[in-house]
Amino acid sequence: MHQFIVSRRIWGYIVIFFLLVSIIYVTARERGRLTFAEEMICEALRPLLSFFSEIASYVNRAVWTVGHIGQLRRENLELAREVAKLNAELMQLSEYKAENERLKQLLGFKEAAPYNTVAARVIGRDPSRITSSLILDKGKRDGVRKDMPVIYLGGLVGRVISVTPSTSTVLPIIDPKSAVGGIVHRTRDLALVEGQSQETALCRLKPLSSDADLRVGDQIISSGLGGIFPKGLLIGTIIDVSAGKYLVGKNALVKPDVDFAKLEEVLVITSKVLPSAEGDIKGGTSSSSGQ
Amino acid sequence: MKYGKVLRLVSRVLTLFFAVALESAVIPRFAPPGVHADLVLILVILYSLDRGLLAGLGWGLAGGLLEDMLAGGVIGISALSKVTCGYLAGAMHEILFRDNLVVPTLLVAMTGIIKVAITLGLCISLGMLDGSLLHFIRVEIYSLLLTVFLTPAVAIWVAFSGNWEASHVGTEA
Repeated sequence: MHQFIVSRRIWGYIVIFFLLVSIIYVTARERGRLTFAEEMICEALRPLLSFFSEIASYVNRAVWTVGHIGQLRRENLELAREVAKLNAELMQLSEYKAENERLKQLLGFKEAAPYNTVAARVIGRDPSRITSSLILDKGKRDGVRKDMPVIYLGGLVGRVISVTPSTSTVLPIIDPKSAVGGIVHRTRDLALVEGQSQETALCRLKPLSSDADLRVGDQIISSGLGGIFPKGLLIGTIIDVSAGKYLVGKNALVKPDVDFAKLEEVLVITSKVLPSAEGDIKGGTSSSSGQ
Repeated sequence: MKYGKVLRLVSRVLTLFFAVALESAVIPRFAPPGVHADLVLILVILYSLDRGLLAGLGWGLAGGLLEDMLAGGVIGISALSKVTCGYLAGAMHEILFRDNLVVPTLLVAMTGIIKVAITLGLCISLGMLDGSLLHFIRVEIYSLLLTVFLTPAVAIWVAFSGNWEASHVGTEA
């Protein structure tokens, strides 16, 4: 009898094992949308994630403030002087802006924002750490859809890979599954920027032509060729250049402009109106309108 | 008695949700990049030691699927590794002396290695391991050490909540 029970339990394990292996291989391909169960779990965990995320942010800030109190005092004094100086400059700039507006109207130009954005908070990360995906507190209800680009200040963060009514999941550019079309800003060489790993937080740059001229310090911007990311978003800066496979061409390591370890807020680009000026490096804040 | 079982189940499911939320939202902010503490693994081991093989299978499956579904990626990798760990820990249910902190801590360390091996094997077979193997192993070792370090604290919490359940139902948790 005991043997029967033990063997039955082993069979139970074997059945679950093969069932899970099947599910793994079925879900390994990129899916168009999440299952109902996944949506429900994301929705159910959202309040908890937001709550814990808020507490962790608060503790992080408190610890940082205590550790940097001397530096903050010095900076405060410097900033007070800087504010006084900048106030004077601001007055001057607002005069220039007013003059600029008048001139634009005269020339018949319309000031159009390059794209609309939705600000979102990072409330979680892949708990299993198998991918480096980020969980945002904005979803379908806020206008976020699959494949929308995500930026932070001056740099590209990644793209939305799944959405629930109130959350969304972002695949960052440092994830090995991510690939973004890029342009070397100095030379206009086209390249593919692939994620390396979440631990190193770097990307690999693979130029499309073997005679591409790559140098440390070159800035990489999105090419807009894939149809997902608008052209001109800053991806990062080359920090290392090495010989390509079989010593043909060059490869490079790119340090993303975004610090993924400290990422707390992002902007999701909700409209796909492409930026106009070719080759301009546009930051999320400098050109977004929906913040 | 029935009420006690329901209360214990609800309490453990809630603890599992809390653990996943902590893993996802809090620990990544304080740990080095990539390093994570597997609180769900600790809970699966503790519940399996407490209740046996079937509980090991059930909690391993539930905890792993919860993690997989929250991540929105491949479903089943965490579930498979945790079902295996839960099953192995559940098999020790009647052999090991459970009322101290050393046994679950050692068991978490051992099953943690098995979990890493299963995850690594699946990642390689699915082509998901693009980074270096050494790097993956190094990060997983740090993560395992952090998980083992946190095991006594989680075990004390689980024992405390078990006592609370028992005091509210009047039965042994």
